Amino acid sequence: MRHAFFSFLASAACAICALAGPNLVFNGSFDCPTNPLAGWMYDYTWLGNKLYMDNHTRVSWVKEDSGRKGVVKLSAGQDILVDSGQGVWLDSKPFPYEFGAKYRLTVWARSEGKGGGTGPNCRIYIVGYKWKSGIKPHPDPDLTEMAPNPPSCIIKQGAGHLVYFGAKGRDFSDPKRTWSKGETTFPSDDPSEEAIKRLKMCDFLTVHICAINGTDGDLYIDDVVVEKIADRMSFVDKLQQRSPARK
Amino acid sequence: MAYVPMKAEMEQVGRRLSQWQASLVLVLSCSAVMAILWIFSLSDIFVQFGRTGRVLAWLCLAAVIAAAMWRVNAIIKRPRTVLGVAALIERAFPQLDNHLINYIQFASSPNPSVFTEAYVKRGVPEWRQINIEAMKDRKAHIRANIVLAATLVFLVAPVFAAGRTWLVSLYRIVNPFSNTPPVSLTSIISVEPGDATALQGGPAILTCKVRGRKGHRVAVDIKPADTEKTSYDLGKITSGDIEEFSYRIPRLATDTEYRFRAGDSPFPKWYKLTARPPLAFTRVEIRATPPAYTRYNPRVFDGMAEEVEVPQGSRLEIAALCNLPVTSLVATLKGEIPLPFSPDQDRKRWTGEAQVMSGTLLSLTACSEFGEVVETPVKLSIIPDKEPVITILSPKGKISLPPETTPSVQFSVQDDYGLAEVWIERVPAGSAKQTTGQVLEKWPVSEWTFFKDWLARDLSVDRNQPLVFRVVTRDNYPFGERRTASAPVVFEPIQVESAAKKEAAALAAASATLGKIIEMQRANVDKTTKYIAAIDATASENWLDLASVQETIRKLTGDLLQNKLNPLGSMTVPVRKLYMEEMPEAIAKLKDAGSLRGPEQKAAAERSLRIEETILRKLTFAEVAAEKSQTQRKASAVAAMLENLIKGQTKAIASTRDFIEKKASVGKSLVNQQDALASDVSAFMKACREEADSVSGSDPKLADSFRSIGAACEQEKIKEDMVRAAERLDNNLPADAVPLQEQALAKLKKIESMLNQSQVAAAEERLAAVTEAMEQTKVKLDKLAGLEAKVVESMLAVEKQQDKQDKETDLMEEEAAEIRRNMKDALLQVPVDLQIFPELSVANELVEDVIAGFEEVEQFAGSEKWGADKVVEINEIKPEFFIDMMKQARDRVDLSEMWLPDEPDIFKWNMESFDREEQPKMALGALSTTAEDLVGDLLKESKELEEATRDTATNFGLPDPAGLGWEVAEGDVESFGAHGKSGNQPPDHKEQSGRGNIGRQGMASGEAAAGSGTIGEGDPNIEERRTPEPLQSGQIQADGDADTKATGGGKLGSGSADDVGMAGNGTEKRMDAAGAGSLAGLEALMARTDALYIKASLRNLRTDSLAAAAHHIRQAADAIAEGLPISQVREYQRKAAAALKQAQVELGAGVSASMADEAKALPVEDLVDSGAENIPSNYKDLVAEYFRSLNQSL
Repeated sequence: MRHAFFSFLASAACAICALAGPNLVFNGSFDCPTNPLAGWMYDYTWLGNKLYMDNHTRVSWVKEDSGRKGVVKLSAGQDILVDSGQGVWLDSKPFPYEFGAKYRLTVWARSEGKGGGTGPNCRIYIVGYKWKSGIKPHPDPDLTEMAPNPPSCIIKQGAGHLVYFGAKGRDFSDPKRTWSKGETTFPSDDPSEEAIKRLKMCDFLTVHICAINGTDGDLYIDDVVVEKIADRMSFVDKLQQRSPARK
Repeated sequence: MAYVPMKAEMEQVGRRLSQWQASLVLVLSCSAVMAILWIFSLSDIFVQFGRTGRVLAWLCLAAVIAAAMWRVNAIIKRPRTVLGVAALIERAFPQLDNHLINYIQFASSPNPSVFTEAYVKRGVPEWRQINIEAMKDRKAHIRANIVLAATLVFLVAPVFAAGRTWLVSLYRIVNPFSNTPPVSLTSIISVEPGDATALQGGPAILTCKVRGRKGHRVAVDIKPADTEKTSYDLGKITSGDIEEFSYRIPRLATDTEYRFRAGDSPFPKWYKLTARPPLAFTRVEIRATPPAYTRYNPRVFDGMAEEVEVPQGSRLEIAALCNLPVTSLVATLKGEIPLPFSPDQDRKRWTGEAQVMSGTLLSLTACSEFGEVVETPVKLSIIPDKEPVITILSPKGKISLPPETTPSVQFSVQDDYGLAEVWIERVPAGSAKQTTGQVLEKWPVSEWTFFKDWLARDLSVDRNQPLVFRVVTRDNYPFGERRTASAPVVFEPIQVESAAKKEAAALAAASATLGKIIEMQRANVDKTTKYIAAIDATASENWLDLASVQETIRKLTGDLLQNKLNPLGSMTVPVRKLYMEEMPEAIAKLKDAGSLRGPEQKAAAERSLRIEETILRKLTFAEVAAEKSQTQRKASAVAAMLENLIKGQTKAIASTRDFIEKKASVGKSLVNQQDALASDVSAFMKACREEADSVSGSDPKLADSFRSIGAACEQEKIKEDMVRAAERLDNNLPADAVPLQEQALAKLKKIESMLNQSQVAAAEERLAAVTEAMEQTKVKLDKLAGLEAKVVESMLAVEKQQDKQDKETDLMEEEAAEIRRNMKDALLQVPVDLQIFPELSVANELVEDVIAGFEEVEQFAGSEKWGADKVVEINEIKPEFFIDMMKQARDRVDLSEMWLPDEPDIFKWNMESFDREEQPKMALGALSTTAEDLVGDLLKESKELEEATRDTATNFGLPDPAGLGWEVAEGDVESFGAHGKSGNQPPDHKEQSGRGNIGRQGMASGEAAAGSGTIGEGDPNIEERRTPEPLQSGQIQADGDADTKATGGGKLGSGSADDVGMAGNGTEKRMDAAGAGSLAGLEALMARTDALYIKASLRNLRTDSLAAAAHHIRQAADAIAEGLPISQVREYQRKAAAALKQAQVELGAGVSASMADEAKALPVEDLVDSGAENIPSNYKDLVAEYFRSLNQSL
């Protein structure tokens, strides 16, 4: 009974944490008192992909790192980052997407290599999913219930639209050795027709973090925040102008 | 007179009156009873009452009697009052004048008056004068008695007339419960068979014996259970004696009632014939328990319906059930003592058991209590325990054994029920199969199959005697010991020099043959030209002579193709095509030239000349290729020697380190091994020198390379290092030996590097030559296009010049036709020469669920304007190790994080292709049910960059290449794992093979594995494609601008151009199930549920032999589905297992000691001759007509 009571308290605390601000990412600050990684997907054994079977062993929570409290650590060596090259994955809990709305993703990160290396590089971006067929929509979605067999997705951000921690880069987010903040917006300001088609299909978004490339070491992530910054993007208006008015 | 006496008198008179009345009633009642009895008795004589009638009659009698008795009793018992009696008396005797009544009334008054008393005192004096008897109704009594007498007379009188009949009748009425039959004139004495059981389906004879009145008729009533009653008249009684009447029921179908009727014979009785079915076995259940060693489970058979197929030695428990009780039942196996059976209680079910070793028929015989005998055969199929099958996988045939080579034997042994032990024997050469030799190694085996790659270590070899081995085995057959021996495996010890000489001689002979063929062909071309020039003066015999020579040329070419040394090298395939197509046609045309006349003769002769020239040209190429092939063979031999040296030295170092680690004394074998390596280095140097000399004429560069390598080997003093290392090892100083060994190894690798560099340089030269040839082809095509334009112009000119003379027009037309024909030949040659892709043995698998993810990519700024200066050119020599990898299917490769590039393709891949014939069958592993596609908006690129980055077509394919990389881009290796992504760039304008999901429009000869999807926009300039494979998997829709006319099978709109582009590679070969082209095969193919096939794929055993294995596995599956006998299924399984083993050997084959196995000849014996001369005479006209129409259409 006492155990159940504490569980309830913990869940309530997590929920309060999640609802504390405009952040759409559940437990984006990794400071949920009972389970600092609550809401984050880092165990992909269900995927059946041999490359990611032990992904969860490379993701851990650190109480404090370089002045930031409660951060997540993605550790990998050269073999994972470059040789076999699958990287280490971390996905946020899906949150709803409104077609036409604009979102801003901000992430704090730093990378530290072993033996003076630069450490792991990464790719951080937003991925849009839709409900997997056969799943009845409900308010508490899980990544396993999204489009079948992730990491397949409906739409994801690629080069030019990733979170970059310095100047706008290309295939990688390029985190620095010290904590720095990177950001991106979703979707792009002028999406192509194909992208719009996909966006219309999209039900949920997640933040995908992949430590990849670079050198042996640890990638630290903190304060993953997604905010809705506009309800209606200009491309929606353009879209409506192109479509003939219905009688 | 006192009152009391009077009253008593009155009462007495009353009783007398009642008695008289009762007496009268009684008499009348008796009369009535007798009358009724008479009536019923009389009726019974005629009607012959049944029991019911008699009972009713009796009840009637009884009722009358009862009523009479009641009435009499009532009369007697009824009290009469004194006054009533007095009244009756007064009525009978009026003279009493009521005195009697008055007296009785006054006398009984309680308060009599005086008058009354006076009257009473007077009394009734008149009473004494009357006679009371006068009151009796005498007449009535008399009449009643008369009636009684009459009825009595009536009752008795018939006795005198009918006698016993009347009495019997009276008795039957009086005692209705008696069984006394009425007396009749005719009676049935007996009926046969009465109530009985008769054989259903058989006849039944009904008989009755009758005695009676003459003239009475006899009949029988038959009432089968399933139909109405039928009567049959059997005749009439002709005498007073006993007569017999019969009726035959021809076929008793069901239970039947019957009765005989004869005259007045009363109550004919119904009898019942119960139809009895004939004796039969209703079920024969056989429970077969195979011997334990077969590992088969017991099985129950329906012995009457199915063949009892059991392994030899099975124990059969037989339970036979009959429809009727059986007195005896035996089972007889041909040639054996009958098996005893025992019955159960009702004797219908009998059981027995037996062990069967042989026989094809078990006969069960049952005898019923009616004497019926029935026999049923039970088909037996005894599966014999076959002797083990020993397959020598390697070596095949007689093998030459060079010095210092350890003979090895790869073999598999299979038995249907399991092996006991396998051993290998060394036997004297020429010994019989039964001869027992020296057992070299023995293996106990408990499985049903055994595979061994046996190496004959530490074997003394007499170099003058062949080394002969036999693989011998004993299976677990428990009914006697069996020994099975293989054919002898013979190794013929030879000296390397002699082997080399032998091979060189063979090659020289082949080369000479080729030279001879070319000479003959050249002579034939000259003669043909000459004969055409003087065609009218050339006799038929001359043409036929040419045809005969052409036949000889073909025969000699066939011999060359079958030569295991493959003397034609890279020209083998084109020459094989010559053998199959051009050569027969040339023969046919020469024969036509001999038999035809006029323009047709000339056309045939000219056609023949063209073909002969083609043959001559290709044969001349072949001569060059043969020389090149020999050179390459020598280069390969040198490279192989060097590779062996490196391997051997690496192994020796590992062994030496083992000794160091274990601190053990160095074994003699290691010392010998190191010594042998030193000797091999000498041999290698010698070979380099010799080969340099031998190829100096044909390939001076290679000769220089050999010389420099040999010299380097000598300068590096590798042999000396090895000898010193051997000495250290001999002195048990392994630690000192290792540095020397490593030094030797490093030097060998250096030498190898030198060799590789020279080979790479040679390959680059070849590539340059190929590129040049391609350029020339392009130029040729351009010229041909120009020529085509001229032809069109000429034709138009001809059409316009209507007024020109016909002769001139004809000449122009002929010229144009000739140009077109030549052009066609040239054009057809282009795609054939360029065809490099292997035949794709399509798996026809579908990826059911393709998930297409879209990636938003921002193109790298300025990349859309990049020009040719950005291009990075990558030249690749064909990776030989791919050949092995193509054959091996690994587990499915999982993909990692992938993304789309943000800049256009800048890589130009120039790849040397594999020869189509050298590629093995691609090991197509099972695809996953889902696949992920990644697509993005097409990147912009300049036309210049697009053209500059066009890759050459590649056939570097792998079943499922690992490490595809992060970025989705076109690379140098094709994947057959359907892992490709659509990406965000159009495919290069080139043929592509492999297996893909959906992709973008482009030229592909591969398989579309996606079950559904949408093709994206890609390369719009694609040629049309012939695709003879409409059933190939995938039904992908074209999207928007995308055009699919050249995509591989499955994609819609595959096109049907006859001339341009290659034929799709999907062929009927895909139908490798029950039989190519059969419906069953097709269904099996389409069903894709052949789990065994998938399993085989996952066992990483995809080699050339695996196709055969898959075929046999499917055959086995089909056989099971069709219910074919186990033996046949096992045969297929055995074949499949053998093919799988062969596949394993192919995969695991290293450097073989077998020289015979090094080369495989292309079979030509299975080719079907297609020349017109091989056509049966009946069809010659038809075929000639066909070719004429074909020529006209060209």
